[in-house]
Amino acid sequence: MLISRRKEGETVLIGDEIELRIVSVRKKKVILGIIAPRDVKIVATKLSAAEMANTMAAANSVNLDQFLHAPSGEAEAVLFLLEGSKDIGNDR
Amino acid sequence: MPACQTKFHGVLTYEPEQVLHIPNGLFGFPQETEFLLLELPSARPMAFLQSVRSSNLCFISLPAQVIEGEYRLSMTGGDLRSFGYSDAAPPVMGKDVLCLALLTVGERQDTTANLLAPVVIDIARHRGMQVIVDAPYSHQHPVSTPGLKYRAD
Repeated sequence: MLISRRKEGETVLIGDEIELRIVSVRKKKVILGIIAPRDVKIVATKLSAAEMANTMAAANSVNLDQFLHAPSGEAEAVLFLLEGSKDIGNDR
Repeated sequence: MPACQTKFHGVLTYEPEQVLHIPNGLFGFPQETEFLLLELPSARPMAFLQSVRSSNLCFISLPAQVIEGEYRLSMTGGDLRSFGYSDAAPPVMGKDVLCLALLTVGERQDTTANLLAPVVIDIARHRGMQVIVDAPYSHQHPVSTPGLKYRAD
């Protein structure tokens, strides 16, 4: 990894077309400005991790009975009323 | 009364006011903005987020605090404001909001929970938002809760 010291307002060029600017530094937060061609995809690492986790979670195709170790036969009673939802977070 | 074909629970009818609105959708699923929050009495506190428009899309979730007892919901200032709160008065988990971690349930690998990007649900307003928390939580946090291991028998 190349480590480069920069102050607020200074820039770094990556290749010929990508410019990275340190817009501001406040306590523990750095605001970066990125100038790049339109076809360069820029995604924050955390966002890409969150998208990946959602995609994997959406692919769950489990047999619920086996997963829950309990019959899901009471399925018609499952419609969850949001009004009663306060109980969920208070279970512990 | 509208009906919804669900992934796990057959066809369910619901009242329009029971729909949970997530205006921005979920990460990677921006078009999914309406869900039903379902639960099975025998599976509490697990909750199911069933998409209204996509019958085959249903997320399985657990409250983040059930997975990680010390879990704190640290939303960024921008997320707080767009969700109707502020840095000075953030929402309280279990009182103002539910904070649900979506689970990836594997037949072969362990179940994991996305503690990095929980779905936060405003209880009073029936509105939700998936946020990336401002804390070093994993998007693949191993879930060790007994009884949550998939048993293929």
